[in-house]
Amino acid sequence: MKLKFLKSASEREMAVSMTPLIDIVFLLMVFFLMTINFEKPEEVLTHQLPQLGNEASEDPSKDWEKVELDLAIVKHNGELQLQLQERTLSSYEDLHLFLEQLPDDIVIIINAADDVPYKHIIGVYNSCLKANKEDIVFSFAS
Amino acid sequence: MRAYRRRSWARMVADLTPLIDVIFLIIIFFVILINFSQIHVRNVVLPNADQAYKANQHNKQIVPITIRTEDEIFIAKDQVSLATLSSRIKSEYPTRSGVTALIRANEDIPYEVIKLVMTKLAELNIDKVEFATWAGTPDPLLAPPVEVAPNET
Repeated sequence: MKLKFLKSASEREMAVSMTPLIDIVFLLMVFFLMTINFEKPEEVLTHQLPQLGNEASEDPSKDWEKVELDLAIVKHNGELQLQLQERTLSSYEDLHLFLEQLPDDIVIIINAADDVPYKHIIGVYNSCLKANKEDIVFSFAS
Repeated sequence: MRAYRRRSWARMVADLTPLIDVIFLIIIFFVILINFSQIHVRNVVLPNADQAYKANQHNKQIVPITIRTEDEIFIAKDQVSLATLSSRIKSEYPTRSGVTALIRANEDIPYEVIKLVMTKLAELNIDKVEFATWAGTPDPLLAPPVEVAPNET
């Protein structure tokens, strides 16, 4: 009588199909390479807005000594200019140098033309903070 | 004489398994992505500032306002208009004490829009505002002069 033996593990075919795995890996790789977006980390500049209609409730003793400084951002011949105490400044560096000479407890009122790009408002605000001027108010007058 | 073997069509079966794998993967991906995507909302070119700092968002109630263009204003991921901004904030944030508004605006937006948004926030008694920026030196006030190429003759 002839006995039947099972084949040993080495004799059996144990092929794993790698094709679907490679397909998916490549697909994911192509997708992520196409959609990857190296986002710059976001930071913030904080600002305190005035409470509209609550002027009477504010403590007048806080600000009575503070000097107000009007800083206008205007367009002249298509170019942006900063107007500060009858001076015309044309760069953030000039503004920073000028503000550094002033005492820290002044109030800066930023008054910008409606068509000034937002990045320049932030640029001016940034220069004021750089010169340690933290009392900054935006003029909402049109 | 040489005899040619007849082509057997039975041997030409396409393996559909990888195709089905990939199609299912794509379907699952888009089903997940389509509902929760805020990519279009977050796609804003922020202004640069070097005095900004990393925001501490813990224990803060934030009203995220994204302004892509004058007509594309979002609160979180919902689009609103300047006219409906106040009512939307009022309904979503009934108690607004201690709320901070985070303004993420495109750097080229005219100041008029930002001014209107800030006026509405002040009217709603939201007095804390954060301007989102990217770390970097602000763009100069004056555009750099355009280099004129020498005349080609």
